[in-house]
Amino acid sequence: MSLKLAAIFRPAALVAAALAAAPGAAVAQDTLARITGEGSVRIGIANERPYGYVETDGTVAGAIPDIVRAALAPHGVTELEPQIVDFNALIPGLNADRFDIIAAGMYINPQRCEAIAFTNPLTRAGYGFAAKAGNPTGVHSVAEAVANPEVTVGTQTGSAQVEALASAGLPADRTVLFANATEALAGLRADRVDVIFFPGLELGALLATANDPSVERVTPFEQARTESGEPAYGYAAFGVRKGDEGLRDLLNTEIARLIESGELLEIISRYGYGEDELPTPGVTAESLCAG
Amino acid sequence: MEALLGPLELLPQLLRGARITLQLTLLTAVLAFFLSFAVAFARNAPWKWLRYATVAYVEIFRGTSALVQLFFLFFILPAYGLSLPPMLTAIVALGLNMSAYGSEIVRGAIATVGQDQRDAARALGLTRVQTWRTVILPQAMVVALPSFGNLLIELLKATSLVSLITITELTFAGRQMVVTTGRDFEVWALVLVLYFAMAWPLSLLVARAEARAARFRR
Repeated sequence: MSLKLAAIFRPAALVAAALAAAPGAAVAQDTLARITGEGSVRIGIANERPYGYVETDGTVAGAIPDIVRAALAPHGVTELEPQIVDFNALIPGLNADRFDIIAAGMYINPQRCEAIAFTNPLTRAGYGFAAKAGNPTGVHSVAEAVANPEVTVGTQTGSAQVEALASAGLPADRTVLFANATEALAGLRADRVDVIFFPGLELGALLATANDPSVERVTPFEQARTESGEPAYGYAAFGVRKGDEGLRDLLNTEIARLIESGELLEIISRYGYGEDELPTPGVTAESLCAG
Repeated sequence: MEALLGPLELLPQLLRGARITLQLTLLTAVLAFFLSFAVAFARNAPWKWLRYATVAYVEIFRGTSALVQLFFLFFILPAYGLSLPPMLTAIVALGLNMSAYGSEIVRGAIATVGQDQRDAARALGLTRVQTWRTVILPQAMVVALPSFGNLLIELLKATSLVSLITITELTFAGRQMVVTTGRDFEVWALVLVLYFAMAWPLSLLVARAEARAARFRR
């Protein structure tokens, strides 16, 4: 490279280096110290029942925000500041420091573990289908939907269900992605899809809110199994930024306490969960991130 | 009773969203209006580098998706140390995007005032500033306003994009109400009505401004 060219490229290289070094610098401040100091924490939710949503009067509700309250109250954090974003924008929003904790019932999976840090699981859940009344296509499992080339399945973009459907072998042209569960339900009613596929709890809350006799939960529904024959549960947890391990460790201690004392079950029972939705003992963020 | 009260009880939250939508539209419109003129003037500047810069500005902000621009400003820039609050991010992103279209409207409108008039103004001894203020701009405004009116309505509806960045404007408030109440028909019908209720007065406002701008012709 000639001298002149080098002179031109040097500033450009400096800018590039500065840009490359900048991420992380923005979040150097310790989140745990800040939230305990201020007594308030910003949580990211996707406005979904029963996980985390805003009531008609503007208050934050949902199983996961309630667990945040219970976990952080002993540390003087009593105020929840909700930030509502699309489910897809939860991880970018967390990493852009728009909020401190993802409290939207996001499932732990290995890809997400690359981007953010998860606490140990709060709940586990199987999946379910909803269909038009009478379930016209007669499918009762993901495997049956895959086997029938006429059946289209709707679910939420960016969710764990997308991966579950893809790994079960459902082709992309029969997978219809909606922005959220209510829109998937609207799609089902409008015959855009034959069935919609969501975590059982979310489906229950969705159908209860809609209160529409033209759609129904598909029963029985056969859960997919893992290689070892266990039901393939999704495990929901809090997400925090990488680098906020102090906050994560504190939340982990509190989660263990809340599960131990039965308080967690009490909280989630208010939203239609039962004992079967408590996480399997021994399943940790670490084991789920390992895949 | 229930059926009658139903839609009305949905209204307060939607109206709160509509207020944000209107606020966002008006603030962005002011920014975009001035930026449009600034960019159009820069495009007519005597310096080549400035003209090239404005061409790049227009083509970049017009040629990329407003949704992606919002995403970039809100979620990517903070990683590089620049974190604007949501409302400001929305105004800046939409303002930049709309001004790219707006500056082309202004440029086109300025071009409709022919060289003959500029020559005549010079022959009359008007200065450059006087020529712009009394000859070119009054006529250009008449040409530009109908297109600006179009753009304003377009902007009102484009504000629905900002639900991406945590702002609870009308569309987002509607989505929220569907989640909490499940009454999607009523909610979306009300949202449509509210958008129209905002767009219609805006159209009237622009029509009045058009009449005012054309007064000198009478």
